[in-house]
Amino acid sequence: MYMPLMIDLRRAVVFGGERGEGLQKTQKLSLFADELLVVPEGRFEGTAITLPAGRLSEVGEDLSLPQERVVPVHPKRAHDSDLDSLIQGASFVTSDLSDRRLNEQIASVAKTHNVLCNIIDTKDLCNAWFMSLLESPHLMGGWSTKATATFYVTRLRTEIQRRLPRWEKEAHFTALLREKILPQKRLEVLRKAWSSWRVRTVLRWRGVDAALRFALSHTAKEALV
Amino acid sequence: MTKFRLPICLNLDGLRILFVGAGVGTATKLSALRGSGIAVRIVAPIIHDVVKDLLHDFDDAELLTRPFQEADLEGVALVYGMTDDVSCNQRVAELSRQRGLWFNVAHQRGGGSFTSPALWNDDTLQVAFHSLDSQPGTAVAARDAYQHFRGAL
Repeated sequence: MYMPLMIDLRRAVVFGGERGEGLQKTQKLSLFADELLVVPEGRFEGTAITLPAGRLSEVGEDLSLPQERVVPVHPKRAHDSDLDSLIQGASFVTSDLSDRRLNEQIASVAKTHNVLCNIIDTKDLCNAWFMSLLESPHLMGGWSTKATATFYVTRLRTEIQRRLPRWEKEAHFTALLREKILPQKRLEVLRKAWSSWRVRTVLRWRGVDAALRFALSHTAKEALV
Repeated sequence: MTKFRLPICLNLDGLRILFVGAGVGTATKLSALRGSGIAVRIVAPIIHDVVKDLLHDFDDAELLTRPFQEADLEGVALVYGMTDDVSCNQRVAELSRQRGLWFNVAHQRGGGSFTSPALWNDDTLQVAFHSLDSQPGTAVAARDAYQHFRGAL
């Protein structure tokens, strides 16, 4: 049973997050986590990874970091670190380490502490999967094939990306209109509004506010809250 | 900087979900989980008839007809505080937080450590929509637009 959730990430740890797919996860998590720590697989020069504001370079999705973020790097390699102290208190850990035994230990410690765990490309050690993401001003969308067909979901995301701005506009309009209508009249008025080609035309060409004014004055006069 | 929540797909095999409260809110959540094979535990002094009916669709359902106790959090992975009593929901949230459990409480939008997105599901694909403006209606309408799009394929 796979269940998508929107989780509040307080602290996330990325093992092997300094390069390759691990760096991609570091970048992605930098958008969501209050605290983020990279535990390197090999020797790492420096104490932090600086992610500049703007589009995340390693991430396939069109995601942008609003401001620069400095992600601290643990001074010891994953292999030499105390996994328990690194994982305890985290909300989420992910690993791109190549050492299967070390990944097994990470998954085991995470399970002990109720921490969500994603070991990249190692389904049997995961209890959580990343979703393919789409972000627009009012919406976040996540797509998942339940860890079975990542390529397919990437293609689908590209297709959806083109359509999302229009859906978002329609969804925003629907949500605003719904709030202004008496509960017992909502379904009737929303149906009426959406079946009106004039409402749809105003929404398409003049935007949400104009469409809302138009719908309220033409289709929802007697049903207002 | 706006704090976004990370959409994540959680594997609930072998795990149990706790619902504190057994009214309409719990019934709505249970409906979405029907036939999924997930184990549930319901704790409430009064159980809504709809909830009782829904539990027939779960192979592993514990029904505890009494007020919530801290021990109810043993062995669960996700917690929903769905009572009408705000202080009870807050207690559920606080105890869950102390144990590192993921929790969601009613009457406190965005107050839990997770929220449920508007979902579209089939055998191979799960799609989740979440409003970044705390307007669930926008996410639901986007999900419906996606459903329409899939239907047209």
